[in-house]
Amino acid sequence: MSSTEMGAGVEELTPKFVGARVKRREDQRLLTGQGAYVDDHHPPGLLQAAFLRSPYAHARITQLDTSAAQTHEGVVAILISKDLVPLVKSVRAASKMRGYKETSFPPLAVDKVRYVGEALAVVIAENRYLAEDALDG
Amino acid sequence: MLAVQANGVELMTVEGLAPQAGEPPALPGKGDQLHPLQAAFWEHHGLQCGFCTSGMLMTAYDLLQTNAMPSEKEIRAGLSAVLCRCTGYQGIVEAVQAAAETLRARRGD
Repeated sequence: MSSTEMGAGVEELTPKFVGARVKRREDQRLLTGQGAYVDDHHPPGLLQAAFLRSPYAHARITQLDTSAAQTHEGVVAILISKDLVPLVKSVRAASKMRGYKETSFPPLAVDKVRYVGEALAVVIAENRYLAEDALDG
Repeated sequence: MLAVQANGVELMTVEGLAPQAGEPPALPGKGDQLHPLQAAFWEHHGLQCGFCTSGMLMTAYDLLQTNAMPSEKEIRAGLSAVLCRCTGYQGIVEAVQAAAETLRARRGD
């Protein structure tokens, strides 16, 4: 193969998008109020959840009575840790960082809460308003 | 503003920004259904996910009704109640400035 033949196959690549101003194709709908987000989707049978969260940084759970909330309009289910423990694994965050000590935690607090805002119970209801109302007891 | 405070008032949402019949298009051809603010947001990367965009546009629209040539500081203060977690605001500020210029040119100031 001669050098001419080799050269014939070489084509300079001119980048199409590098350094170019490219207009986003999705912007027209987002600019005109046509965007859709998770909250805009209402598939049939959709239920919504609200979480009961700890107001304490560190406290023992002595009692968790969901009976009053169960009677609320639109409430489909209320879950606390004992309902979840047989079904789910603890939440864990793995890391390759040296010396890192993994601390797993249950999705809903078991026996003890360890920070303000830790979830104790979840109410599942026909909509968010009813779920939130049930949280208030 | 609480919904009850808006009782009986005329409200304009982002859908109302689109050019009315007889108004010049902001971006002839592509995007000719856009208001200059919407076109400027598109041109200047004033949005990413779009979640805050309707609020940004309407707040900016209101700002430009009372101040046709706002400074960067005035734009940032005017939009301070609307949070955007995507853009870092720079593109939004530039878009509002560009739209203000378009609107001033349109009115002939």
